[in-house]
Amino acid sequence: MTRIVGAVLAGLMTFGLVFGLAASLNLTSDGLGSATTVVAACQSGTLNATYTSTYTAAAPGPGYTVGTVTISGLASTCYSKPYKVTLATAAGASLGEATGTTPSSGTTIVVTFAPVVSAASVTAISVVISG
Amino acid sequence: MKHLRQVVLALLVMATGAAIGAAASVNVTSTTLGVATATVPRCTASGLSVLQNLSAGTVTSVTVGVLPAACGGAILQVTVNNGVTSASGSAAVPGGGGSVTVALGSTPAVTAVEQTDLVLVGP
Repeated sequence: MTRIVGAVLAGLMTFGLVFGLAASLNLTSDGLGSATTVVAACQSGTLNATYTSTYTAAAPGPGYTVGTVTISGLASTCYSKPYKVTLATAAGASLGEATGTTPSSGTTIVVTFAPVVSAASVTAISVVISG
Repeated sequence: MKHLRQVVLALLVMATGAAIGAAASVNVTSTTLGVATATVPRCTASGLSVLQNLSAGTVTSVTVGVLPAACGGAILQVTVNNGVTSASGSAAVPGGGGSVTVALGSTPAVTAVEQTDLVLVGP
């Protein structure tokens, strides 16, 4: 009799454990699709930035500041696309950002920074053209 | 006949597998994205000499010296601010460097709180 009761208890414990494990897993899945495509730049030619410096008595002066950056070398494949230009320090800290749309003709982008940026601090420039 | 049924069944399984594989892929296109970062170089990191040229208690021009050849072709801009007003001028740096005297657009009075700023643009 004791053995029968023991067997029943053992069976209940085993199935209980199995049911317990089964109850602990709920799994759903969203869809998963994958594909690969190339993200290309709109041109491979080199862009060149030149700076227009102006003396500013007010902050961030007194001193020379950069208010306009002219980027030349724009190819027609980059026409009418959004751009962002950032002037930064050597440590990578942004001094100013300017955004706009590249022109639909010509080879230059004239970028205006407002407020102007301290010329002495500018040691890096970044350009992003997307679209 | 049995062999034919096996072949048909195998083809059905393969077709189903292909369909499932196709459903797992998506089509994707991309617009262009170009990014570039460049350093803005300095033609010199050395100290430059700056000398104000005076006339009757005013600053008429500024001579900047010890310019290295690497600065040759740059445009030197100079501004003198005496705390009340400022005067600016610019001149090209000779190809071999050296010194450049920049004439100011006006002649600010000499004061005790003058500040001279300069910038080299290019080459």
